[in-house]
Amino acid sequence: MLACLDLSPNEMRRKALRIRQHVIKMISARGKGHTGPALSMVEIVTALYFGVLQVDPENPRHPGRDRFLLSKGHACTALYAALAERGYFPVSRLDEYYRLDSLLGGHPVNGLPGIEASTGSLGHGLPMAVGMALSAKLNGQDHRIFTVLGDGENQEGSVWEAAMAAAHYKLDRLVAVIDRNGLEIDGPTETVMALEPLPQKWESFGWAARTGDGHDLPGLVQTLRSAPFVLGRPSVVIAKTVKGKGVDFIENRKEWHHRAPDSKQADEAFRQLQDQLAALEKEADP
Amino acid sequence: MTGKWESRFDPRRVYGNKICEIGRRRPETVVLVADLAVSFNLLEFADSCAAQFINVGVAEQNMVGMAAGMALEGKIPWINSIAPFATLRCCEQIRTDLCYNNLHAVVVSIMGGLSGAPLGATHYATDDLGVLRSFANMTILVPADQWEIGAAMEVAAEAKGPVYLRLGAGMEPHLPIPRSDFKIGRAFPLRQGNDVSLIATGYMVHKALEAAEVLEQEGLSVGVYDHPTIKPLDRESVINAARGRRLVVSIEEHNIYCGLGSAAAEVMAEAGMSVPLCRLGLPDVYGSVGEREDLLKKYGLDAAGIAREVSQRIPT
Repeated sequence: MLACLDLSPNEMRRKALRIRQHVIKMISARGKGHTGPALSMVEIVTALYFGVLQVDPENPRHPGRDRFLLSKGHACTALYAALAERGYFPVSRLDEYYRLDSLLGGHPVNGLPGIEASTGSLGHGLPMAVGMALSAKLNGQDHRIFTVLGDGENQEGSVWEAAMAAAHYKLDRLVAVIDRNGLEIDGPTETVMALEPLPQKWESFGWAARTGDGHDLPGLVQTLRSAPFVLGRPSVVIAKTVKGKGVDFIENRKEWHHRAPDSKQADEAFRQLQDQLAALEKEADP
Repeated sequence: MTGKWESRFDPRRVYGNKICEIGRRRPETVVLVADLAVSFNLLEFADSCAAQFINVGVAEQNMVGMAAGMALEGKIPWINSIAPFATLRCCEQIRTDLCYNNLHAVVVSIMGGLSGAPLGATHYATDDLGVLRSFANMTILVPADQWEIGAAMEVAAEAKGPVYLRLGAGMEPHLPIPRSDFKIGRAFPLRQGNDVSLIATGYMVHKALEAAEVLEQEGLSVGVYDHPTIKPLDRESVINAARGRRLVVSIEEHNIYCGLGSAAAEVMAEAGMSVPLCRLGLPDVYGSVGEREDLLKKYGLDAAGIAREVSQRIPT
């Protein structure tokens, strides 16, 4: 049955920390992966899967489901962990990450329960989401289509082609979230190729934009649930995040865009996340 | 030429009429066009199937991405633009969104080959087949006349994965030989001959037939094989065409690299055949400007040019 979960803020924060732990485990076990971009996106996917999306993990292709496309596919470990925690497949399956013929690849692969399409080439997800939203509109369906883009991804021209089309077709069931962690491979976005004023750019393309703290789970849930922000317009949430969030030696370091923690670093990362988890558990059950 | 060659048709008119029929029959059909509805003769479709018609403006990458999203939702998108823009501008979207996801969508181009030559090489494609041939899951159809366009559209509408349909522009003749039972991956042997086999695709099939007549006058027995499918290539037909012949000639409106001739060479080499192959097409250049027939002559792709090449290359 389609359902949108309603977790308490504390439960949701603990969920996010468990997802972070899965990310560290997966990436360190194989020695490969995009640690920084996955950690920055954790609250966004947690809010979506545990507070916003109407989905049925038992029936991942339910026709009435909300759709989710991960355009910044390199952050897939956070998505795999969220899907496992939400019940699309057993958590033990996360161990398949990067293995031969696995459906848990370095970018999402069509075929894994909960994955709508193979994505990850930047600038591709939004056009596909626009097509999905236009189909829904033509079919008279009212499910929503969510997609998460990286901030550096906004430098791709096809993003703006799609942004123009979404507004033209008044696709107000479409919601884009931009993981605004401020860093791309070669450094700060504003140094490599400046994006700001980003909200104004989206607004000028006909979207309704909201900017907020991308690690504030109750805030994200409330914002995402309230879309469309303006009737007849697509919605964009510019979620301000910290790349590598949750592990102090990974946070805000461009080197961690595509780097795996070694076993010592993984232990330390896991310990930091465990401490945060313990604090939340104490808070929940004093 | 004889009278039977003179009845001509406009590929775009054929396409525009046929897509209306397909769109009405299969309501999941959607037509996406990048500001070329008039060029593709799609005004009637836009009128009679308005809810299935989407003009995305001049934005081919987004057009293909949107088509992929629509195909994921069960639509059958037909994506339309001028050959270089329909295939190369959005090349990676075709590869990743359509082919990697193996989605049923039809990419349709006009001005394939030299048919758009007056506009210059920015606007006509002689490298589309080679690029798309290297994409897994892709089917490539290059019909030679009105009947083949209609038949190719029927099979494209029922295909399981991505299809590229390359059309010309301007008036083209009908093939004087009736064919039936169009299938993906099947060539039509149009003419039997024991000395030389000409294997051709699209508009070049006409030139191959004309060249065969010229060569027959010179005493050569020449067969002609029409390949409306470039991928998957009809291997059996190529092997049959090559077996026991003195020369095989491939003819295409494409760079000699990576198109029909290359595909035929792969088949012949893998089958261990030692018959020489001569590939006719553009000799690794961007074509110049001019009328199609003038350029075909310039590159030796008219009947006289093909006949001349055969005479020179045939082993004595």
